[in-house]
Amino acid sequence: MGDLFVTLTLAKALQVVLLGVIGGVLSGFIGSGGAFFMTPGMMNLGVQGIIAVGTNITHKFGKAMVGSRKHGELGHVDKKLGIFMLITAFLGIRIAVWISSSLFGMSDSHAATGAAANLYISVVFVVMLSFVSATMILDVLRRRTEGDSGPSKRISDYLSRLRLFPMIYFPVADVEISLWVLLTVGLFTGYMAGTIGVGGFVGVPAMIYIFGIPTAVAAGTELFLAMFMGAFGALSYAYEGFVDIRLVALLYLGSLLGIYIGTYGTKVVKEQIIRIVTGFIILLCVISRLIAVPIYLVQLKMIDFIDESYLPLLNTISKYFLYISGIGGVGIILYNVVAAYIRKKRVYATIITKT
Amino acid sequence: MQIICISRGSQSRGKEFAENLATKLGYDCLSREQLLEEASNRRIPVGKLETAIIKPHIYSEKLALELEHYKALATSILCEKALNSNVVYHGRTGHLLLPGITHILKLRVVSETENRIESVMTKLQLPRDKARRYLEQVDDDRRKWVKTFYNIDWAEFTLYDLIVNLSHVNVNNAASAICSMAQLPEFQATPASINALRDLYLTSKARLLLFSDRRTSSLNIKIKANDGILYITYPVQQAENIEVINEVLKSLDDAKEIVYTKAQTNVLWIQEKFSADDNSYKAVLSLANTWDAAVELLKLIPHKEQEIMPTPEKSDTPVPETWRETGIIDEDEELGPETSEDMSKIYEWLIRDGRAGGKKTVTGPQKTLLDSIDRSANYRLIIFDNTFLSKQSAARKRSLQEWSNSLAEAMKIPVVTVDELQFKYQFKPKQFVHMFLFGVITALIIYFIFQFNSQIIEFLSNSDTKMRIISTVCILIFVPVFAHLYSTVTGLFLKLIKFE
Repeated sequence: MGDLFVTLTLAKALQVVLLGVIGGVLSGFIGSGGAFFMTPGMMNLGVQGIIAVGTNITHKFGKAMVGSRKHGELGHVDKKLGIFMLITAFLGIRIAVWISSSLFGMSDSHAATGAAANLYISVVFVVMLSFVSATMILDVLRRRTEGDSGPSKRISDYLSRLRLFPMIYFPVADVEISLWVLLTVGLFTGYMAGTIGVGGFVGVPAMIYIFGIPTAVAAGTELFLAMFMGAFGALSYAYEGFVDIRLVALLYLGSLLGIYIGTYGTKVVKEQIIRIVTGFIILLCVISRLIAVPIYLVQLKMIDFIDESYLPLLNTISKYFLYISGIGGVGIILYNVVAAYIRKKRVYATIITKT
Repeated sequence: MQIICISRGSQSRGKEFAENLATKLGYDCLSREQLLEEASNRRIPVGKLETAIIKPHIYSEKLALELEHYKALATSILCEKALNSNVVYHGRTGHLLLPGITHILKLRVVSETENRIESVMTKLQLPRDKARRYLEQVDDDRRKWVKTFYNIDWAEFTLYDLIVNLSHVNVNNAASAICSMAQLPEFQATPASINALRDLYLTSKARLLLFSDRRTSSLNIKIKANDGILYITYPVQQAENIEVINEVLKSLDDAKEIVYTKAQTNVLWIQEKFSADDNSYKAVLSLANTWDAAVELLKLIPHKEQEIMPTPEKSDTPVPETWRETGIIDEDEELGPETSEDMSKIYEWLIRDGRAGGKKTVTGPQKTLLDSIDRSANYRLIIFDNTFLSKQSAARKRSLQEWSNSLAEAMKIPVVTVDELQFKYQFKPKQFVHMFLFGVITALIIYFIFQFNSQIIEFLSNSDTKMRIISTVCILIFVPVFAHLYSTVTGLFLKLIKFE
């Protein structure tokens, strides 16, 4: 099993740290996610998909512990909501780990080791995040024409009219949600966290768009949820031997610094730009993973019109696409952070009139 | 000028009571319905707002802006009326539109449920059950309105000076009784409360002007007036709109001057005595620069309730001097020249450094201080120090702690002294040692990862069940410990380079 773990050279280690920085900046900027960049990034570095997911979910566990405490101090955590969602989120994680582990063991040749799991993870990644990025971009564009920058409430409006019994009231978020809707969202969040390591990308929008709760409470509650889901996911993957603790430590080196930069970015960038930049970054990540899908199909001998000699090229293109999206996104954020610093220095700060 | 605010429930005969009281006192009578009519004339979608508050899932940012627009309009009309004449206002907790105005007589008019049900049955021709449900629905809608508007429960009795139950007393007699109460000195305008009312009027007029211009109607800026000076605090993203804001506000003749401060958040600095020659200013400025915050100065002259509220022997006694000691006052008027000059000097420094967020003086008990703080301002921290100077050291410390606790509870934000500020929010040598130590441990862990690369892989990929359990436990212990160590290092490092 030892050959499943990637050989760690200095260059590879630095690339993992860089993945962490970019993932951290994006995570701090968007409020959730980051793993959508780090998981495929590690896969491009030769890390097995299942180990990339296991490592990421373990990385998220420690990060969520730090973040959840801070959000809790600000009163942004609805623990009751978090606990209800956790009930089925654990089940979702177990289902995800079971599917991934089963697919991982399916390969019949050394070359195709993990290819089935990689393909499965990539397909789920592409389908799910295409939907998220398209919804995000379309919502911003639609809101822009209507002159309203808040998130759409159409789904939460529809569900609250349905009132599927029993309805449960959550005091911190100040919303009433049907138990069935809660359990379904919890199950799906857990499944996504367990499959591609990005439960937050389902949890946060679901809480905002489906439950209709404030963004700050959604982010805080998701971190609370992520702490337990991360711990449970880490436990499940670590027991199966799919967590690379070396990569976890290297990711932290970059991500914990990146989060501060990303969070600072949210203070100086307009909300509409935050959403549109996020949408495009995710879209580019999706394209990057889409380019990698034929590699696994060839390894599994499901297609034969692509020569195996082209596979490294496809992997390189996929890798560059991912880096362009991450570095481009981080570039926009850093540009705004630096511009804000420059503006700060200008004498513009205080004008007095009518003396 | 006197202000009487009546909060009335549906079918509680509050309107009849308010009109009767206004006639008896010879005051103007203003109703919520008149405010709504004026709002409709200004194309504020009042009906949509009411629906959005009752059904929060259709509440949007656009409606939140309209709500602020309505609030500014209602405050402006109320202030204008109250500055020109005596007024009786009846509606839903109208006194909450006038924070910091100490002389309002706040009444709640209620009636027994059975009487209200009968009234609905007669007026709407409904059977008893439907009439009861109708009343419950209306009460719930009003509760939600007040909750959304002020984040307060309108049934909370401490919001009112008196609750009048019209089930047993008739409207005429109740109004007569309130006429006597209205003569009490606590409900007479003082120079301080009139000043506060003028400032509130100026603030609401400025807001209305900005709402009425398409270019500025949706800007996220904070406006407040103190002593005729208008303070505009805007986040860095809005810097490009300052010229437009300035142009729109030019027509505001009542403003002595307009001070613009670029800030993301606000810090409230409360002291009884501000000293212009100590290091406190440097500490507060350093924090304000790091957080990109505007600093609001509040000079507090604390008094106990009994010291400032003597009950006059006769209801028609002229206003005694002591009444002037409660409320928000002009700092040059009541205080010694030394303290006032020091506060002004510090304020001039804040303007010079682009961190001015307003200044005011409050004198009175704890409740007056709490009432005077603008809950809509985005305060991130309160610095509360150097107060209760007339007390002995131990008593001073205790009072400071008690008031700090109340402030923290009411405002839901940290309250610190200047010393605590320096310790908690600024970089100290001890924190440097902390950062260095944790940094070394982190570096050692990374070194071991490279040094024992193959052993780690072997340990992680062991297929023996016992070893798997051990490696899982090790991972679950290692991850949070490493995250804590390294997040402390990065947090302290960014604090050191003032990147927070």
